[in-house]
Amino acid sequence: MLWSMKVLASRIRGWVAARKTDEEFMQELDAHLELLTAEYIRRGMTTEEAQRSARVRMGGVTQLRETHREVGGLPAAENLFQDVRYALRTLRNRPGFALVCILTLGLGIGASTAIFSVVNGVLLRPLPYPNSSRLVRIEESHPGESAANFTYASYLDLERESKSLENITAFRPWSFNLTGDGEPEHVTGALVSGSFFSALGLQPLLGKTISAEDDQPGGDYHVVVLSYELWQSRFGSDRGILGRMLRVSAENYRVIGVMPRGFDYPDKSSVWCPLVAGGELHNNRRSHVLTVIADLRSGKTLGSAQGEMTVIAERIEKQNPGVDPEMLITAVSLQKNLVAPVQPALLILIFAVGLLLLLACANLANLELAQAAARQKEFAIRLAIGAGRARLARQLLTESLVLSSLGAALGLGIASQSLFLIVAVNANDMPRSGEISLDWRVLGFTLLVSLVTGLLFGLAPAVVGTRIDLITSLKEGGSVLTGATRPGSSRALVILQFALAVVLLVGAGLVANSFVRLLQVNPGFNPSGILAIPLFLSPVEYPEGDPKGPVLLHQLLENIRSVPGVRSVGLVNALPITGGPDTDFVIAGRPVPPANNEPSADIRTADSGYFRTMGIPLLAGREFTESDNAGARRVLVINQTMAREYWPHEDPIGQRVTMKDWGSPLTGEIVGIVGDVKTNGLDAVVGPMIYWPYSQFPQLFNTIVVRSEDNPLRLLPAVKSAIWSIDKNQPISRAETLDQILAESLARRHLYMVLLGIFSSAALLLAAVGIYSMVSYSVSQRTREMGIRLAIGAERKDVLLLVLGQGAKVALLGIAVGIAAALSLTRLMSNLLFGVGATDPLTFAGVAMLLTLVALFTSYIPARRAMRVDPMVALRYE
Amino acid sequence: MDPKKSDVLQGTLDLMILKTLHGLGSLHGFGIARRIEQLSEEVLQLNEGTAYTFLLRLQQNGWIASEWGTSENNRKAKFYSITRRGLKQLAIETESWERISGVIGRVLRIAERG
Repeated sequence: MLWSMKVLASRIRGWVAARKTDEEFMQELDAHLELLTAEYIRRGMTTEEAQRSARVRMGGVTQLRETHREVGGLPAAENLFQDVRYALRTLRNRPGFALVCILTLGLGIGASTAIFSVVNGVLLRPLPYPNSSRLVRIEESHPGESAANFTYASYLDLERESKSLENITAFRPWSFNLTGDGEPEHVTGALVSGSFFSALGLQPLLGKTISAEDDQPGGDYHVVVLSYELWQSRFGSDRGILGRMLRVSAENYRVIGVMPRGFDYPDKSSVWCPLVAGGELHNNRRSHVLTVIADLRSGKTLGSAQGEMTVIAERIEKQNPGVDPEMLITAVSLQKNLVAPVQPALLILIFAVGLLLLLACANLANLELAQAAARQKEFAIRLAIGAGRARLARQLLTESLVLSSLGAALGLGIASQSLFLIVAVNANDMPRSGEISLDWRVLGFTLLVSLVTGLLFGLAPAVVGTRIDLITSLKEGGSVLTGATRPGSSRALVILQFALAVVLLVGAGLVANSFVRLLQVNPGFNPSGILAIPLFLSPVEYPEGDPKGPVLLHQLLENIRSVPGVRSVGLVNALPITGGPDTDFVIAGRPVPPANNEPSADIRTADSGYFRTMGIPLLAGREFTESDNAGARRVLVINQTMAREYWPHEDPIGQRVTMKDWGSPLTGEIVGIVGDVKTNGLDAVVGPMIYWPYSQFPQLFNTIVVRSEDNPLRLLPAVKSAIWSIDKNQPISRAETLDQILAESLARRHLYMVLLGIFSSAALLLAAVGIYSMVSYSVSQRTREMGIRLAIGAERKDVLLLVLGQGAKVALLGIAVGIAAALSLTRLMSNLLFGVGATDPLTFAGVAMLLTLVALFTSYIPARRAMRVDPMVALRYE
Repeated sequence: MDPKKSDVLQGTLDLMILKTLHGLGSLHGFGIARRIEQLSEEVLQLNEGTAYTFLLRLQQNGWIASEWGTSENNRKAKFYSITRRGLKQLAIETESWERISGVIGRVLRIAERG
């Protein structure tokens, strides 16, 4: 071992000092030659004779040098350098070929690296918290429904009873109005229980985090932890921030800590305050508003935790019969839970991009094959003058590797640019989008892909190219490459390309089709010309149940209404599309449904101007009026779906409905029916909805909608000052138009559509290049045959059809294979689709037609060339 | 190739070079080639350039060392000498050579007697 190390060391030394050693060796040989010559002269030869004999005796100097270098240095490395140099030289001589290859590869590698970066950052990389591997999310759910949040009472039970979890923590996303320093600002954050930061395992950058003593009712819970980004933007990274008092939602909070850069869990939070459960929330087993996360105790598995959760859920139900029947508690990994909404789409994207890369490789193999054929004479000469076949194959592989490295470099550039774009477009929508970056893992992936690509497309020509028959190829005009190897493998590659292109185009077509259908969905309101201004009323200034809140809102609405250019104004607690609260309800005079099967409805509060401003049609009865105030009779407006589902044969107006989940049950009388609006997005089914007058069921979160005469954003400054003239501490930092909100709700689908569109266009282009090069190569090979056909009387039209037919046959075969594959693959993407089936015949037929046309068009160019062959020239050809 | 002049096996040439250097001390490549030729009574006539490959390899193994000196005709030349490790290797190779040649000799004698 030591020995061979020594030899290696000496070889490396020799290789490094190659030039010097070589020179010394030449000196040594010269000295030897001279002595030998002298010896021969002494034996009686003439000088000339002696010199000649000495040379013969020595052997070929060049060959000696070569062997000496091989023994003395690192021949493999030297050959590699030589090969790389040679490869670069040959590529320079074929700039067109090199350019097409590098571009193809750059696109393939760039696209796959970009998507892999997203997948890596979002799906693969562990959450950037020290406890990431142990973090679980605990959810309450009911059979047949998607998982839901926790109630505070269950959270307390869980914290008391669980043996397999530790640092069990509950939090609630919350809004905060920051006032006092500069313009009032509306920031999102969370109310967190004392163990929140220890569950994540995070230490603050400055000061301390919220701890167990901060979340006790009656204690000093007016403390706040800031995100790095907020600390930077609003407080200029002032290290003296600790201990300072901030006005947060009209109360004084003491800053106790600043978190490290990048931490924004949950949901881009920038402020964390203690979650203090007073009165109502503390014993509540009905309002599911809390997110619960925890650490698995060491040695405990997710499975054992799940077992314990089931037991705890049963115990809770036994102790509180009839409160929340059939409640289940489930434990899932936090990371999985976090990325679940985007996982299927990301997997589909990475699959698509993998297909694209494969297609690029096929294209390169095809190009390389054509090149290998064209360069056959070169290979033959090199074999004839003594290059080994293995050496030649290695040379070809080096060439492909050089190409793929160049392609990879280009791809990395493309990837980093497109990644920037993807993140910018998708930042608000993609979980963990801040963690997406090109990192070593992605870099490794790129290198691996480029290497595999290089080997894949280098191998085919290396195998075929070195299997040449020397004699035939050296002879002038000898047919190139043995038998049908080249056309056969080329045809197979083109079939593969068409099949891959079909799969990608069908996938992209289905997604685009879904998108178009979504755009045609009627949202139930008229979004154009509406500005939406979210308002958050501090519970300290406007406690729930206090009429102060509705009074302020009424004043604000009146003030905005008088702004010039405002056509109408309305108020709602949660806008359409973006979701909102819901409740179980009971209809008066009907048998009480079993507790586990109560009907539920979305719940909204609105003012008298809301329906008119939004363009939501009134179908029966009346809208709210100014006189539906806190002191008046409680009234409700329901949507069409609710009317249809619960009063299919009677008039719902005048019926009484009781809402159960929000504090003490509230009962109201239905006075009107309005049209449905899309509640949770354009692609979601609309359920029953109940509207309350805002002054009869006051909310902390409200949104003012303003319909303007023209561009609603132009109204913003005037609306702002109208609001500030009444409440100068009301932040208006998040005003948006409804068109913007609609577009954002489609952003994710839009991104998928754009990405798949790009991939499939690239696929189409590559397939077109593939079939073009196959047909034109075959035409150039069959020039003589065409000449003969024409000479013995074939029509030019026949030749044209012959060539077109050849291209069409290959294309149709590829399309057939692709359709078969797509039929089974698109089913996997059904959750990305809307309004079209995974086997939508129109999309499939359209793609097949498009590809056939492309095949015919690209074959037509070489076919025309074949048709114009002059028989006389063709027959003399070769 | 001349049938009488056998192709020198690598191990044999290694052994001969080491032995030569052991007997004569420091020598340059030309000297080594002459000495081997002389000792083998011109039966082994090597392609003299090849000897340098062997010298390089022996050097890489640390069995011989080299230094620059001046030859008989006043030219710069590399002089080779055996190292301590080379001496050990020489002992090993001599022993194994003798054993093998002994065995082969016996086999040939038995074969002759039929």
